[in-house]
Amino acid sequence: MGWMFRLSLLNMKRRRARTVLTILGVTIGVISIVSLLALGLGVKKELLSQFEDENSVKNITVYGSQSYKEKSKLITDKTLEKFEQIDKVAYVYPEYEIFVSLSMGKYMAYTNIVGIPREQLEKLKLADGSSLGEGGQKPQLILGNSMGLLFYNYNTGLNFSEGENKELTSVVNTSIPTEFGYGDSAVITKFKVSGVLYGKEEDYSMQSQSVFCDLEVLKRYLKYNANGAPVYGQPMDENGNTYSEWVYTSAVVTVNDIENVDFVVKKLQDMGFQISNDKEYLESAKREIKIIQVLLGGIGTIALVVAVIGISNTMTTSVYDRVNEIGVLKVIGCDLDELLMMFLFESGVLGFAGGVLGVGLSFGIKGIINKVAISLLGFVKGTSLAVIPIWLIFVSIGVSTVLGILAGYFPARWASRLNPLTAVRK
Amino acid sequence: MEIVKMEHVTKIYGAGDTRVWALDDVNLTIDKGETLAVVGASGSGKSTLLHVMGGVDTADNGNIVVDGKDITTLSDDEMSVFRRRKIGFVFQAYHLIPVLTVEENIRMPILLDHKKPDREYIDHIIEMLGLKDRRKHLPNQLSGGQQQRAAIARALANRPSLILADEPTGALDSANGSEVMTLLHDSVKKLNQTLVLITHNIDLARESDRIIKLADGKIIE
Ligand SMILES: Nc1ncnc2c1ncn2[C@@H]1O[C@H](COP(=O)(O)OP(=O)(O)OP(=O)(O)O)[C@@H](O)[C@H]1O
Ligand SMILES: [Mg+2]
Repeated sequence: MGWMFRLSLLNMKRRRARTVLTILGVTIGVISIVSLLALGLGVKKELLSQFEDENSVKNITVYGSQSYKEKSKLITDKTLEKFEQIDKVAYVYPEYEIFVSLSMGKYMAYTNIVGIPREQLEKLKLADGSSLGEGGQKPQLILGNSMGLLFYNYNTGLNFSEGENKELTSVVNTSIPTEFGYGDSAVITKFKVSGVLYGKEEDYSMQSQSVFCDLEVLKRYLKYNANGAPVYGQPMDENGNTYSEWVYTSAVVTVNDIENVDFVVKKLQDMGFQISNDKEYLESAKREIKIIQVLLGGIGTIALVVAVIGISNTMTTSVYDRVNEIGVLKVIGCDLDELLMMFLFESGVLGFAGGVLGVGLSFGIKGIINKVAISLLGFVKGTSLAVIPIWLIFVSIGVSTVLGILAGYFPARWASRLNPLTAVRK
Repeated sequence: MEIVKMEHVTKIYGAGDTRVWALDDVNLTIDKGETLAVVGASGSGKSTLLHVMGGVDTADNGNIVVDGKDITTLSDDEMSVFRRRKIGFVFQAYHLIPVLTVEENIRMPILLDHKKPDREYIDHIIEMLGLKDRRKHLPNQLSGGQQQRAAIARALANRPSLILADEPTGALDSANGSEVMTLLHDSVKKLNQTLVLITHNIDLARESDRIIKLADGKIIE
């Protein structure tokens, strides 16, 4: 057995230039396919990171009307009950948003405060040192982790994170000036910040750019503050009076299973509500990813096919060159399957070497792609637009070895079927 | 004791008008330890006779028994085993494997048979053929005579039943040729081997125990 390996290695060594060029061909093929796949995988990760998790896809946000002309589309507690009765709905909770301006020193943010029920607040992941706050007189605020970028100093043009060398969590347990309402009913007060959401500043999401508080506390505070006058943000009927029931801005309807999202969306739309849901985005993002991957993979595959043709060509030449040697081996009694194996080993080595080199160099290419993404395309530092998972390393080397062996099959079979006499008779 | 027995062996090449009877009803018996020279004009069927006897080509008709085995019924794989165990070939063009050293070339038939070479025996034939200080050389570093001696050593390596040599000195000048031929005869005698030798040189043929002559695929004397 050993003689086969020795003989093929010696022959590869003897035809060094040809061997190196063939391996180079495979290397280029593997580099293209691996880097393009790495790019595809990285882009996929980037696109999907916009979605907090797959579970958020089960949430449907239903927007209520604010106009008396569409009375049936106001969201009240009764409406929430109706939502709960829809088939496949797991649970429903209301949201109440008010538009405010917040300030931290010289930094201002125009944003919404979103009141959500206590048990929803409790689901939020908080940064160290944060708390949900007690349900006192005034609502206490929980700032999204990207809020540091949204507080803006209009004199210097810098945001809080750029201008202050401080973490956003440094404002926890301080009270910040808060302003809402217009004209005569404008209110200037101070709200305490009780916490900040867990997460990196640059991890943008809907949540990271929001400010949350306890819905019941917010409602109570706004009612108390209005002191009998119309409550801030509440719509009025055709006669200019507020409704007896509280009107929410929106409701979040959570479906029991991702599969049923479309069904519930349809029901809600049939009831005349505007809704938003990530499922469509997620699906279109996934579609985009598929297209990108198929495209990139296709280009890489062409390169690899060319490389395989290269191996096949080299092996054919190799057999052709060695017709005499093959003939002699057969005459002196070499087993045919061993002869076949000798050539398959040789083409396998070409594929394997190309695979190893290709994967190794792909790591370099990956680094370049990521540098380009950061410096030219303006991606955040640390972004991996190209990622090479461990499985890709092994699969690429494995596949290029197997393709090498397959590419060598026909030349090898030809070799093992050569008539020894053509070589020997001269 | 007979080592080869050929009965009514026929080999036809081509078809129709280009049909050639390379062997035409050949009957031949060779005894163990005998050296047989085959002579005849070019195209008379000498090489064909050797190839058919050594199992690199198949006869179209007749029986060929070598060392008690009817080789006309063997499969391709069995034929490979037969060749490496029973036959040692020597060709006019040496046909050594260019990337292997002299010693590796000589050991090849044993490796192909999945056996461990017997060092002592290999050393013995290397010495006998005067290749002692050439064993690590590659074939293209040797003279023609040395290459042919290496090819002879390879043919002897697996202690075959039959050495088949097709004009082994055809590519050598007369001095080298007679040296190689002497070594071949000596080795065959010392190791008690059977030799079938094709040659155009009638003087070389006379060194053999017996001479047969072929013409148009028939043994004529
Ligand atoms: N593969 C083949 N196809 C067709 N005809 C062949 C083939 N091999 C041999 N022959 C023919 O068979 C006949 C015998 O050939 P062979 O090689 O045995 O002759 P030879 O006696 O060895 O000749 P030489 O002394 O020239 O080597 C010749 O006429 C030759 O042309
Ligand atoms: Mg001949």
